[in-house]
Amino acid sequence: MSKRFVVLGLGETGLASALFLKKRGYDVFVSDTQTSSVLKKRSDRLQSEKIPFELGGHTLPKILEADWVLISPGISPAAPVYQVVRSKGIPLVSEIEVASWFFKGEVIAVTGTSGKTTVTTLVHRLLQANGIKSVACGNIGNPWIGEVDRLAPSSQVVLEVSSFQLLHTYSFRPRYGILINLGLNHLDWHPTLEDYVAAKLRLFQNQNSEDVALIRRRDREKYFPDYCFKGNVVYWGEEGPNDNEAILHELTRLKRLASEKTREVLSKFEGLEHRLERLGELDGVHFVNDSKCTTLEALAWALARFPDKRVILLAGGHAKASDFRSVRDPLTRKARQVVIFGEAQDLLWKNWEGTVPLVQARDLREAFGQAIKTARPGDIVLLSPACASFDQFSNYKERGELFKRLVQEARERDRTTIVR
Amino acid sequence: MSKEARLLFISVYALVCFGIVMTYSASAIYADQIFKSPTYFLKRHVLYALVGTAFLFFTASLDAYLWKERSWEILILSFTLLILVLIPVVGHQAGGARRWIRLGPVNFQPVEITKIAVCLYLSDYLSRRIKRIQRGEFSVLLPPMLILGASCALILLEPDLGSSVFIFLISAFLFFLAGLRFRFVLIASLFFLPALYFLVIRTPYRLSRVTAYLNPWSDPKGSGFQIIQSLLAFGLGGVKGVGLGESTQKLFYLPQSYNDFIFSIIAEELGLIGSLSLILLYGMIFWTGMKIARRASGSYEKFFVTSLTLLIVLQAIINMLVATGLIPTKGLPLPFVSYGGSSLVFNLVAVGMLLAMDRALQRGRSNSRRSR
Repeated sequence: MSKRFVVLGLGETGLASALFLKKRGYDVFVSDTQTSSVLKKRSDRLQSEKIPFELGGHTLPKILEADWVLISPGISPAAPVYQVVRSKGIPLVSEIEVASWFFKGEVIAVTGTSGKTTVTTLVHRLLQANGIKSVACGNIGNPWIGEVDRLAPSSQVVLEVSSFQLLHTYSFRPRYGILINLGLNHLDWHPTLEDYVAAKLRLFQNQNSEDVALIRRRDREKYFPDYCFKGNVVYWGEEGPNDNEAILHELTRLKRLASEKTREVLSKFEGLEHRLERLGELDGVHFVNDSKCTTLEALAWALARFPDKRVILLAGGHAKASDFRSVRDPLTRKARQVVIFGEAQDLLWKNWEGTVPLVQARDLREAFGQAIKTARPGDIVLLSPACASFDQFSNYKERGELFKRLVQEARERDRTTIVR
Repeated sequence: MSKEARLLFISVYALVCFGIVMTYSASAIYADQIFKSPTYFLKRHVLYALVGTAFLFFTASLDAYLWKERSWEILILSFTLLILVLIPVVGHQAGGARRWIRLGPVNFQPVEITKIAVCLYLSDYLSRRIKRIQRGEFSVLLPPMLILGASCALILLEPDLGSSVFIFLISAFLFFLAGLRFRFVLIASLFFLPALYFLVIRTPYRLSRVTAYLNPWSDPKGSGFQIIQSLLAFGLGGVKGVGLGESTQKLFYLPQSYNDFIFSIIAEELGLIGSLSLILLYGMIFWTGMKIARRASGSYEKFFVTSLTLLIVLQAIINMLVATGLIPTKGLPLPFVSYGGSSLVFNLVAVGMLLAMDRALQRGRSNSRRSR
């Protein structure tokens, strides 16, 4: 009798996992509480592969028959179904764990609080530049499990992993585990900071002396001074202005790659969309779209990239963090003005009052208008909201798109003025 | 705790109990004459065993990987102690050698820490560079050679030739396990020949030990005395032994009978049966150690377990070879059995480390079992 897998959640990952497991001869059942039109497309796919599923709720007796429950990112540990499965002692595994059972090649796993996707992309490009077959997957939007059957054993996987996925790994063992930074985030998933750190450290739990843990010395001293690594710990040089560059250089050294290629990859890298994405300048004013920034940690990180007192910051939206006061220092140092918009206006005003001049705006469009009014040549207009977008947008991408459109409009207006 | 670890623990404590009985048997009359108390050595030995057991449980409760990144710190600590012991005020002298540091009522030998420190340091160092060693980059071996050379030199200043030869031997084993060809180990050993020449041929008392080894009867009342008495003990014991407590050799004939030559007294009192049981227990430690090492997936874990197991077993082998006159006299104790606090305590610490590693390996195993 074949072993039974229940896949909880029919997201991208859930679908890819179900298809993969079915192909490997497992008995698969998929369950999701939602019934949206997006899920309809995926469930049609399941139907054509003859994979049984249910939408609109979890039928517990069916789920509890499982030998393993594969849990999609997005299902909170607080969810009743999670609690029941756990209490019955059925192993809960993440897609990463299952994929790792079937891939025997080299894995470079990247985790951290912010900037994971950038590092994952950079490492992937670095490997390719050195003629190594590589694929970037994981949280980046391309489930690893969907790639496993397409990978040659010689190819290397660059994997972006979230702490949630790590929480449900048992035997996953990356050759290189990179923990780029740690900060308060996702405390909605993880009840305490210790749990969050412990989840991140699971990246290293199965490493041995053939493997490398690439970490930031500061994080270790602050968050896990007593943790004993089984792999070899390597710190990257933190003197440089940019951690990403330092990580890449360290990896180049460890993997004995060509350092010219590394410099080339770094200089060619234009950034990712909505992540400190440079939109060019207009009359000497630079525009940067960092709509992905939804945390204070990411805001502090973004501010640190720019010269002192030149940033006009656009921030606001739906507040997720509570301790907005924690960024008062970087704000005072880097910003010239802050335009706050959206639902969290009053909260931000209260916490940031007395740092730099604050201006309030109803929405992003109005905020943008305020910003270009004060901007002078050499300034940077930075959209780094430090809040979630869903008070006024459906996601951060939409917010970023609007910002880009606003910059484009301003540019066109500028051009027509000159023509006249 | 795995089945092997449980067997290891049982074998070790069988030896410790054996040691308590035999230390008392071998030392009682001597202690009565010299210290006016037959239980002088027994009481101390039992106390050391208790202290060592506490240390064992403490180290076993720690994370086995605690030592991986701290191997340098322990090495530095051991160097500091080796230097301290040479300072006349700090180092305590006995029998012409300055080997003990006195801490209040207790004396301890820093060299016992050095033995463990070298095992931990080499496990970490070699496991990190195993690919380069196997590729034949011998420059990689230079730093550990320098460190080993320095610690052996410090130990020789005490002087303690036995321990430095032992440290050299266990390192050679680890280099070999890391993939170094045996002939290179041999070539490296050749560099030590001049040192050996000065240390042995030019030092009268050591040269006399060597000549006594080659032919004990050339000087039966002088340098050959100890080994002849030891061999006599074996002969007197025969197959069944003369019976517990009945040894005559311990009555001032065989010097160090409760210490480095306790194996001879065991052979005399308990005969071939007793000595073979003892060998069986050490064999058990070796076998269980190798079993645990085989479960490890990484080379650090393999080196860690193998080196600490060898630390115990190799000392036992050398001690037994000395007692039976098969190699020249070296001052190495019989682990867990010989009287001597530092050796007993630190050997138990090594066992604690082995148990901690066993626990870590078990956990890794149950993790992968859970997923398949």
